[in-house]
Parts: sequence; structure tokens; C-alpha cells
Amino acid sequence: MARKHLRLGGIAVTAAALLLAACSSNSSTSSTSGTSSGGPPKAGVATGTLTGAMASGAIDSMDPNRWYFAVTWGLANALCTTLVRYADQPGTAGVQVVPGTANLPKISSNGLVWTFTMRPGAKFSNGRAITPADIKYTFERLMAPKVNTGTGVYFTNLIGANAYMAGKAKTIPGITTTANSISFHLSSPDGAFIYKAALPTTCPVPVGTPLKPIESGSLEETYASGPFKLQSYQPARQIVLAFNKNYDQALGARGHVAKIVFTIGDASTQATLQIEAGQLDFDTSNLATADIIKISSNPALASQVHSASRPSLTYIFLNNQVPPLNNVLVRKAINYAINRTAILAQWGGPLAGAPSDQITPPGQSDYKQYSIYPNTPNLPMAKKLMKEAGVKLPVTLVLRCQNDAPGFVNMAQVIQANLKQIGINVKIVGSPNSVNSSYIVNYKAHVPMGIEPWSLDFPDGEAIINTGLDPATPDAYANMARFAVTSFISPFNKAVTLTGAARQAAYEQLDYQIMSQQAPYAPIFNPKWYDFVSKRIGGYVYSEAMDAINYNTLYIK
Amino acid sequence: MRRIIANRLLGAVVQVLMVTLFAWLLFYVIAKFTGASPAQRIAGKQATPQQIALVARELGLNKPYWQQYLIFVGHLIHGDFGFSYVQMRPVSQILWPATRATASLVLGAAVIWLLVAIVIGGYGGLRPRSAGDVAGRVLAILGMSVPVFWVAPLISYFFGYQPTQGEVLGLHLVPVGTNIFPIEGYTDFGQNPVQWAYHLILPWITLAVGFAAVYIRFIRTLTAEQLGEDYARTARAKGASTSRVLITHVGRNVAPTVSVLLGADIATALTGVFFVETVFGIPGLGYTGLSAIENLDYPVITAVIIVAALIAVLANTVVDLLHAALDPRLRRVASG
Repeated sequence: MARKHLRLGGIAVTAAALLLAACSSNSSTSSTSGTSSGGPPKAGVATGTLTGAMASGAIDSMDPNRWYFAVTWGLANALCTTLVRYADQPGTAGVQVVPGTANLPKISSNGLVWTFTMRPGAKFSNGRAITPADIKYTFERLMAPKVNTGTGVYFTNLIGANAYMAGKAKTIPGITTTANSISFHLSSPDGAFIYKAALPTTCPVPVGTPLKPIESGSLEETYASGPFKLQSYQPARQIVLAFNKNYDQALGARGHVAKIVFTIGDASTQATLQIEAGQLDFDTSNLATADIIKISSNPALASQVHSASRPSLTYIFLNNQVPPLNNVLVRKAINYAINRTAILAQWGGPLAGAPSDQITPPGQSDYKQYSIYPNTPNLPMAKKLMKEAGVKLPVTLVLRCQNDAPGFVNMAQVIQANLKQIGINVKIVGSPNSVNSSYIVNYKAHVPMGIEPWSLDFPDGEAIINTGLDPATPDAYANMARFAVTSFISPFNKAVTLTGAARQAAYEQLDYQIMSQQAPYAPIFNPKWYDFVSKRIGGYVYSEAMDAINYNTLYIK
Repeated sequence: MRRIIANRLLGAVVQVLMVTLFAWLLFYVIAKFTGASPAQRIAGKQATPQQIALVARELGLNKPYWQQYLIFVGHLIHGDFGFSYVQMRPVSQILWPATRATASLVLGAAVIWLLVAIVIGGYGGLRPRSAGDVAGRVLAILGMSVPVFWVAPLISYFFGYQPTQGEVLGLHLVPVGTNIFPIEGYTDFGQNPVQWAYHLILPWITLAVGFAAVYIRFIRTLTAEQLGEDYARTARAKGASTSRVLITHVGRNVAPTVSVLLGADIATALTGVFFVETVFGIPGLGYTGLSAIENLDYPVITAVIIVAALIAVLANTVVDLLHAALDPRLRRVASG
């Protein structure tokens, strides 16, 4: 799903950042107070306070079965221990699943029953043991219509889940428990179930938690299960995480600071100045391009900058049901006509990402690089395809994008110029992300084209191919291309059931076939992640799975 | 005077009703036709039509529009701005801290810009074309020319950030690590009044720059005009000191006009300090409104608009009444 990551506060702030970058002298960096020398502390020893900043609107929910934005998933990683979880490692090692409150599952020979045995020591922050019944209840709560989580759809192949989600059953018979284990009975094999069991929305809550959204943060104050618990939450003002003394370090040595204080509502560029001044330790937003340029030019700050590839794709969806985009030749022509390099330049250029013409982002196990469409336009080919398509030109198409973050409208303008070359007049319609994202998912709105950033919910091709392009459900909100080619239904359905190398090969092949045969998207680029942190931070890890800083590894030097 | 008060209050009520109607139309009716309806937003992207219909019923969106509006106004009269389904708490709990923060910013800045403008503008009016007057006018032109979204990061950079790097205005004057002013941040007055003022000094100055520039020119012109009037010459001829002429005679005639401008500007500033709040991280009305727009939090957006309008109407009403109290001619016109 298109998980939201805020990128800067606004165009004016970016302009100011550029100005300040120009004003900036090569001044020395400040010293930081309260530091101690040495490496990470011993397991269970948590000292010092870190300060972080986040943009307004970065928190979508504080209900552990509802949160979805990247920043809240970053918090979830600190506050929760799910059945299984991602390793606290950088890069692709960080998308490996390791035991959480349970050991790695035993899977039945037919792939339909996944059994997780609970590990001793799994407790809530109030000291109460986490039981299999709590886990079952957690899954039921996250799928409860009244809680209305965004990730319930990933569990619809649990036996009885559909009836439960429709309100026709009070429990899910496909989840069974014993005194120390929980089993998930699937109606069809699911090769990505291990990742789904690690989703932050499966954060455990105790049996009996009300089946309605609880946004006060009270659940994570009392029932946190990670190395941190919520100490306080003032909406739109402040979040304080405190080390969870009831977290059993035998579940994984995590959490090395006593407290993390987040201020909500900081502008990214101001936060960068604060970090440089030693008044702040990190910001949860991706570093602004202007700041990347400024900081990169200062060797004294280089050790404080961290970059990583993100499990994300920015692309144009081409609505397969809107003429002339219902003609595959037109969609291919668009893929040949757009200048991916120039579009990426509007986002920040090579520092900010890498051009791509495929669906799955690099770093996923089922990613295999191919090249069908060029990074710079092949106009003769594009015009040839348009001619073959027999479309009466010129034709006008709407391209929707958000206009409350820098870069999107600029990218749209490049696309507009590119497509004019092949006789498509693009009408750009920009609106705030909140409006744009609600509108483009509306099947009845018949949105022809839109620029969308997409972050994977878990490191598997299913999280973008099946979720975003399932041909069996062209009216699904996430299928913005309204992809409905029936010959793909069977390969899609088969791919989800596979495991291991067969699954990997299936998704590699699907990615290639979709783009070479149908081109429902015009992929543009895979964005990069940049963090600028204070000098005193040690143990920095960007969690690719959460698309956020891993707070569990941080310590004060 | 009572007639003036009655007329003005009646006008204020009509204005408030019009604004509430506008706000309600904007976010409950128009939004419905653009496809981004409140019910859809609250129910979530994956909600079924049945779930959306259920939410719509709970919100009363299935009732006739006129009924919805009356219910909406009825709740407002009781101080109920609705419930934020994004933050899952009453809107009033979100709104009042934000209003306090913005009021802290604007009222503090107003004191600064008034003091600066009275001193510089008054001097300019008293000594036109003097070196001090020219300097004051240049400052005023500069102040009016620089947009607040440029001034805000610049002030934060030079006075908040640079001292930490051992510099003040680019000169190495202080030790590295000096914290003169915070780069951003806010402390509520109730929590710590000293920290409250400390965190607001730079935002106050930032906001005051543009307004002070206008007021300098305004007060300068009014003062010069009034000093040329017969009554001022007579006062001087009778031997009144310059300060007495300025404060007792000229000031009394300048004050009503300045108060009108001040009321309008405070209302404008209260609702338009978005950039200052964003740069300095002040969780005020502008910040709250922006955050609500990002999250499509309709009740909060509507409440911010209504509060902004209420402030504007209230400020203008107070100013009109103050103007009438200060200027006897207005009272005579109204009663006559």
C-alpha cells in the first residue's frame, strides 16, 4: 500500500532551505553535551535521552492495530514485539524475519497451517505475560470492522476471516490456540504469511481491549511489548518513549536509551539546523534535497549522514479503463516517451533516487533487474506506437498529483512536456495529499493518470504487484491502474501461494511480463532515504522494513 | 453609545452566521461532491459502501442540508466544535491550546510592533526629513519589502543557529555551542512563563517586522498631519512641551485611527501566522489548520475557520466600539 512518508513541510520552506544553504559558511560543528565514550551499552542497560522531531501529520494513529504511516511504524518497531519481527540490521539483512514473541513458525506440509510457539519472557510493559489468546484477539481486533485497520485485507485467506470482517461471525475459526502456541489455518497457501505476521498492526493487545479505535496512546502506555513503552503522548505536540523495564532482553537485545522525546510539528529544514547545532538528535522526515546538498559539501558532517535505498517506487498509474489508456500501445508509448532522468531531477536528482522502469523496488528478494523502457525518451518508438494505436490526436488526459509537497507538480510538468511530444495534452490537477489520495483511489472517479509514491508493507513482490495490480479486483482502491487483464489472474493467484525460489522466480517473471506486455504503470524512480543525525548518536540503523529509523539500536556515544 | 453597541453586535452575529454557513458548505457539502466526503474519510479507504453509510448516519450526513446546518450551529452555540475522527478527541481539546499559542505569538508581536512604530514613527512625524526620519523610513520600506516566509528562517538561522556555531551575523563573536535563542520550539505559558517568553522572542520579532514597518509610516504620517493642525500649534504657542503636545494632544487624535488598524491587523495576524508558526515550531492555529488539511480532518478544519472568523469579527467589533469610545464624533453621528 502507499504508506505515507512526509517529505518536507512545503515549497516555501524548501526555498528557505536553499537560501540558507547558500548563506551557510563552512562553520565547525557544535559539540554535544552529555556524551559518553564507548560502544553500545550492555543488553538491558539504557541511559540518556535522545530528542527527535517529526512533521505535523506524521502520526496517523496511536492505536497499535491501526497505525500505518512510516513514522508510526517506526514507533511501532520500538513499542511492539510482534509474533515474528525484522532483524535490527541495516540493508537487506534488516528484512530478514527473526523470532519475536514466538519462535519462527512451523508450517504444515500443505502450507495451510502456520503454528507459532510462544517464547518465554514475552510480556506487556505492565508485567503481564502475553498469551496466545492475546495474539488471537489482536488479529481479530485488527480485522474488526469497527477498528477499521488498513491491513486486515492481508489476512482474508484465514479460514472464516471474510465472514468475520463482514460482521457475520464473532470470531475467526481459522485462528486456534493452545496454552503456548497459536495456529493460523489458511484457505490457500500464502508464501508471504511470515511477513504479514510481522506487520506492525499485529502489535499485541490484551484480550478484551475495546473493539474501537483507541487513539489516546493508553494502550502503549500499559501494554507495550517492545523495548520501549509510551510514557506520554500529547497529540500534535509531543511523544515520549521510555525504556520498558519489563521487556525481556532474551527476546532480542534492544533498547539502549532511557528515553526518546519527539517533538511533533517541526519543519524538516529547521530540524536539520537544530541537529547541526546539537539541539536535536534526529528527525523522522527524509532529509530535504537542499539539506543533502548543503551537508554533503561539509566534510565535517559526512559521518552524521546516512543514506539507504527505500523499498519504494514512484510511478504514474495509467488507468486501463479510460480511453485511450485502455489501449496497451498507448501505455507503452507513454513508457517510451517519458524522461525518467528529468523527472527524477525534479525530485532531487541522483542523490534522491534512481530511475526505474520496473515495478518491484531493488532490495526485495524477488527483484531482478531488467530494462524494457529507457531512462531518457525514445520518441521515434513512442510515436510509432501511438500511430499503431490509431488514436486520433491530440488527446487530452488529466494527470493528478499532490501539490502540498515539493516535487510532485514539477514532476507532472516534465511529464506534461514529454507527452505533448506524442500528441497527449496533459492537464495537471494538483490537490493536497489528503484530497488527492482519497480521490485517485475512487473507482468511480475514473482518474486517467496520477503520480503516486508506493512503499511496500513487507519485503515481497506481493506487497506491490498483488496489492496494487490484482487483475481480479480492478475496482479495489489500491488498483489505481484498474488493471483487469484476465489472463493474469491465474499467475497472480498462483504466485501468492508459492514459497522460496519458486516464489522469487514467479514474481520476477510477473514483474517483467506485466510491464512488457501490459504496461499499466509508467515507473519513474526508486527513492533514497537520507538521515542526518547528531554526533552523539551511535548504533544508527535505517529499518528498510519499517521505512524509518530503528530506535531499538540507537545509543548515546 | 448603546445604539452603536446594539448595531455592531447585531452585525457581528450576522457575520458569524455567514461564516459558519460558508465553513459548513465548504467542508460538508462541496467535499461530498468532490469525492472526498467526510464519511468516506472517517470510514477509511477500504470501507464498504455500507460502512460509509453507517458513518454518514452517525454524523447526521443523511439528514437534509438545512437540518445539518442548524444542528451544526446549535452545537457551536454550546461550544461543541465536533469530534476529530483523526485524533479521536473533541475538537475543542485541539483548538484551545492552539488558539492560546497563536494569541501568545500575535499579542506579544503586536506590543513590539506598536512600541517600535510609536517611537520611530512619532519621531519621524516630529522631525520630518531628519536623518533619524530617513533611517526610519528606510527601515520601514525594508520591513515592508521582505516577506515573512523569508524573514522567519533568516532570523532563526542568524540568531538561533549561528551562535551555536560560534558566530553572530557571520562574525566569530561567541564561543562555539552558544545558545542565545532556540532555533525553534514552544513552551506553554502555564508550564513555564520564562521559557514561554524565551521561545517566543524570535517569533515575536519576526512577526513584528512587517507590521512595524506599516505602522511606522502610518504613525509618522498621522503625527506630522496632526502637528500641522491649529490645535497643536496653539498648544505649542501656549508653551506646552513637545512630549505633552505629542502625548496629550496629538496622541489622542492619532490613537483612534491606529486602534482601527490594530484591530484589523491583530485579526489578520491571528489567522495568518502560518509561516512563523511553521518555521518556529509553534503549535498554533495555522499549524493546526495545516495539519488538519494534511489529514483531511474536516471538523478541525471547519473549527479553525470558524475560530479565525470569530476572532476577526470580535476584533473588529471591539475596535469599532473602542473607536466610538475614543472619538466623540462617531457617538454623535450614531445618536443623531
